[in-house]
Amino acid sequence: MTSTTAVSGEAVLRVKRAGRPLVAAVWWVAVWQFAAWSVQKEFLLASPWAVVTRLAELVFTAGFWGTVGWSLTRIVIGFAAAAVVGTLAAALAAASRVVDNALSPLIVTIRSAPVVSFIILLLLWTDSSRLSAIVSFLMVLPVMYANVLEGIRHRDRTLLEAARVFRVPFTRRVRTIDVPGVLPFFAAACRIGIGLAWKSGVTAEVIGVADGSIGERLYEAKLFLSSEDLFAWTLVIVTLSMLCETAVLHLLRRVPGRMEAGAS
Amino acid sequence: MTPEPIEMRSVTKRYGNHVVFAGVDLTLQAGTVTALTGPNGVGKTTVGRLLLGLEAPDSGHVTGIARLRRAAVFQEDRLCAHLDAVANVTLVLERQRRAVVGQELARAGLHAGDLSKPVRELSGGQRRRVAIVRALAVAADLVVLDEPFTGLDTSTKPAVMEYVRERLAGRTAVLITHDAAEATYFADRIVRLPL
Repeated sequence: MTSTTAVSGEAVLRVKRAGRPLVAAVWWVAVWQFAAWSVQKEFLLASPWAVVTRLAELVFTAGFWGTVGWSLTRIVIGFAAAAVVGTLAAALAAASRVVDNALSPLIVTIRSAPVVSFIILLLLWTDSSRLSAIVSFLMVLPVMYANVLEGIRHRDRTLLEAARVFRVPFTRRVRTIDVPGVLPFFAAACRIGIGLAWKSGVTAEVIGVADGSIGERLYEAKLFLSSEDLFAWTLVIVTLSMLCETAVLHLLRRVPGRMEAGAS
Repeated sequence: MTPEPIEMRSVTKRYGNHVVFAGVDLTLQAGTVTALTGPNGVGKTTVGRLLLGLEAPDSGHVTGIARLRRAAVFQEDRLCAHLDAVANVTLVLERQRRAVVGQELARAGLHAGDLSKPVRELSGGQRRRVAIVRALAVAADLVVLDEPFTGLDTSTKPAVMEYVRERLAGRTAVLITHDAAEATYFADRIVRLPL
């Protein structure tokens, strides 16, 4: 009897915990609905129902998935390239002060310069189809570089010293000490970087009016004063960003297990 | 041929303006255990770090250690928290044999069920035993043990001490300890710092 009560108590707690974000979401949708009623002009602020209806129409069109695929591919390429280049650059900077001194001004410049400056410059150099990948890459690169470098510098010094005494081979040390030490910093950079990649990538698509992209759909929404389309595509962007983040963090959670298997 | 002894000659070590010790001479005969004892702050651990090549003397010389294969039990366990006990030991071995390492850990008093747990899930005493086995499993020319029995409870300590003594037989080792009984139990020679 006692164990049944305990189990049902736990189940209630689980439902309560799971229900909290839902309650928050319902609250904000209600606020949105109230604001839409107050404004009374669909072209200024579409209601949640109108947006959901529009989204439901969009997902059943072939063009929707083509557009999603177009932007997703380029933004993921930009993010992945930044993750690889940022990590390698940070590893080199950690190993060599000369590299660190050479890269620091470049990274600071990229981080500080407005994203539109890069977009306009890139539009002069290349066509708009490559824009979102390059802009995502440039925006994510400083985040990856800074976080991974911080992670490398915060590795456990006592473990590294022990590895030196025991002459642990380099690749084994990387797998068992370096990667697990840097991974939390890399994961944090991924969380920030994915959102940044989507924001900057779609901004680039809007400014460059990249043919077949989500940015072009947003640009058209502005042209045709369609806030339903604007909100519907924004929901799509938020959903894609969240899905990308979930996928990347899921993959990263598997890394320690793989490292462990390699060490045994 | 008798291996060359490890020698510290007129060694001085400073950290900033603080002189840890000055003009220290010490000889470690091959195949013997030397215990370093003395009060806190006299530089016992620093001598160990010099012998392990982790510090350089500010003046004087440490000879006979250049090509040595070294192993250590540090004051802290210094284990990879996410790896299990066996993986922590195989990590430092040239040939990785889980079964053999498992037997060694069992000899040091770890139960079979604890061998495959990440070491962060083990007790302090169990982690200490993993650190001890790791140092003794390596075919090292010099073993430095810095307060190796700290954190072991009174019921397991005698068995672990017996295991360590057996594994140190015929090897060159330095035992750093506050405990006179430990020094007497292990050492062929006891050196009290400051010299």
